[in-house]
Amino acid sequence: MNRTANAASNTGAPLAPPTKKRGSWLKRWDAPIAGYLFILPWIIGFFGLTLYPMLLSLYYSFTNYTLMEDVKWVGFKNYDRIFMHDDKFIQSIKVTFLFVLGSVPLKLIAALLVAVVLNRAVRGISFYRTSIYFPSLIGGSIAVSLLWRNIFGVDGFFNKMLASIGIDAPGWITNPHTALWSLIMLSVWQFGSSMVIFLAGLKQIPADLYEASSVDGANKVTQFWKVTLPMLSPTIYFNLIMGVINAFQMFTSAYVITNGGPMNSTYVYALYLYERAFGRYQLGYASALAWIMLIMIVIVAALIAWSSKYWVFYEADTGRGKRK
Amino acid sequence: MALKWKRSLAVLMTVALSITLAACGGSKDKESDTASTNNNTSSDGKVKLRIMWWGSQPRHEATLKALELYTKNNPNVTFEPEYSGMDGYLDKLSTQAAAKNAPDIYQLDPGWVSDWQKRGQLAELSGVDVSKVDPKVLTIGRFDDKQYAVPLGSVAYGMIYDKAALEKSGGAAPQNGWKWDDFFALADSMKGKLPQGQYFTKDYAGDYFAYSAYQYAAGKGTIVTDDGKFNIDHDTYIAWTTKFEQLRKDGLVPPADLNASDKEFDPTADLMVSGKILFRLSFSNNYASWDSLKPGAYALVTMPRAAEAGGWLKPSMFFGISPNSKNAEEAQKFVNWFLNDPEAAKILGTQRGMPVNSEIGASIESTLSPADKVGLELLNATLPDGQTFTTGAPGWTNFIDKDFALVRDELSFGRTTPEEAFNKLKSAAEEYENQ
Repeated sequence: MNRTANAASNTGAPLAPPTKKRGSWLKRWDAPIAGYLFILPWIIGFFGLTLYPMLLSLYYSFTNYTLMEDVKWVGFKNYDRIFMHDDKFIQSIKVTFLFVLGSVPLKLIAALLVAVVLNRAVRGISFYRTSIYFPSLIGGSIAVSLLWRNIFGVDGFFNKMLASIGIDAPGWITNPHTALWSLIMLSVWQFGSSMVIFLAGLKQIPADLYEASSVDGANKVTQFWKVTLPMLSPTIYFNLIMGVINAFQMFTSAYVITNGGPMNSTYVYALYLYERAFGRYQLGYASALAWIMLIMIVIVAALIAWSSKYWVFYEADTGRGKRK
Repeated sequence: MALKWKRSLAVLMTVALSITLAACGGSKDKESDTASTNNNTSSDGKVKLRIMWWGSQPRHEATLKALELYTKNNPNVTFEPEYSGMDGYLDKLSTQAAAKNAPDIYQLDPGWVSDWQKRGQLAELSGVDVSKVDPKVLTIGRFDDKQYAVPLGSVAYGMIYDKAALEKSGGAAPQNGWKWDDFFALADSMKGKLPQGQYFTKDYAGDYFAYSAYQYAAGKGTIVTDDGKFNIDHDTYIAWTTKFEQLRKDGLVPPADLNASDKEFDPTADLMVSGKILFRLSFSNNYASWDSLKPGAYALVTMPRAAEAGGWLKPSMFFGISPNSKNAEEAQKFVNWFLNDPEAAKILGTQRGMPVNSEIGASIESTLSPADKVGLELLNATLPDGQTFTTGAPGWTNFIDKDFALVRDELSFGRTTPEEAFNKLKSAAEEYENQ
């Protein structure tokens, strides 16, 4: 739009009167203003609800803010205490990393396998897709967590099933060895949104690649490894990053199902942060914890992004590695 | 096409990333937004009071009936009740209070009152008449001679047991005034007699309240002193935890994962209700709740004693009013009614303990249900020489809820020895002593 306006004034009368010039000046600004107006709601939301609270929490992390009393600047005292004298910090980091390492790969594998199975033209496929996606619609909610607690409790449905075939099983969510795994399984079960993205990615793979490879004698398994996976690697990359970011912030199920126990075996980072902020009202301390978490996520995401050049394959720029 | 795909991927990623960021960054503000909608007074004098409490089904029903009656008598006041079990109650209330969106009236445990007052989360209750309330139970809610929270009832701490199951295994029913030695002797006598999957009592080795009672009985005072010092007596603690270690070995307390699954008053997860244990700790007013789950099955007995009495009377719970309440006056009127009105007392019974207003208490005694009378018996048996209840020093709630609970799990799972457990509690307490 901008360009056409300029073009019009260039090809117009050579003796352009000043009024017309002002018109074009207005026009030149017209378009961006309209654009900014359109995104204004988002910008307001971003600055008011995201950036401002974030910066404020950065400030609070250097104070002893408790919500009720006056705010006092304490410098790096919060960070010092977290890194040097806080056993619960160490424990919650450990649990969180275990959770991320356990849940993200398993969830991706489950999502990918189901997506491959669902990526075919069978009668009623939309019905299957919908029903498989369904757990993710209600996912992460309190209700599902409560359900999980009942299924995997000592006398839960799962153990009753095992008992009927003669297996004496432990209380999955009340045993420190298995509690975190119960939460990981809950997160894996909610693979639906990654699966939908995988499905979209699978649809993007040109059919001629499969035709060509089958002419070359590749069977289904070889095709999966040599065609599907490389072509899908950008989607895997995307799902991996999103999965990691989400897994780091895991809170609901740990809070509802186990409340961090038994023996702090499910004491994830967000739970510890919550306890500091709303259990003990140490909002300054909790803000420092939040910023440490943010930096941790950024580092992990950056590492994944850096590693991507070794395993993510873009069809268009195969010469990328060499160029470097 | 692939390039396009890559670009759209980048866009998708940016969008998704910012949504995630917005979601975690924005949540706090959303909460405070709702605070401004808290004003429920409309121009015609109609008032809607938000009120929140925890309890079991009988208490919910009684309270709802009382609210109904109040609305009938005062048609301009309606209620928006929020009620639940104890599980997660404090978390929910704290979060709402932090967002300045707490209900107008809320129920508090005596242990929380001083913390809440200190943080400025309680309004002064000048409009509530407490003249007929025993001054001893008022002190907890009193600061600088002003009342910030009012007690709703007194209860006694004792034990409850499954009558039939005890008899079946050949145990004699305990008598009020029994001793901790009797308790452990009874446990030992059950060895090998209990049916598969049944245990004598919960694994109370690391339980804050059970051990409190034991240390009281030993004459060693409270676990945390009123001026905020760690006061677990080393030898008493070792004796207690070692005894439970023995019970654990003898199969008289449930294995750890079963023990951890216990949820009081939950029809399926309460270990006593599901028939897995014979004895558990109970407040006198809780009898009705358990009795409603399995009528006639249970009996109460005093907390075992030793050198001194083990049990104590305490104000069960308090009502406080939010300083952010727009209807504080109406809220106070309601609390006053709740505390002092005979009609209200008749409906509420002893769901929150024996009414603290002595006149009201005497007036409802004859109308009490049989279950409430059982509770009253325990109360009267504890009254003569019961321990003096104290809320302890402010700022230790988290020590009891989290640090004690962790050591409790470790003991129950056999991951720590009594000696180590003591040292862990001691070092965890340092952070609270120096706060």
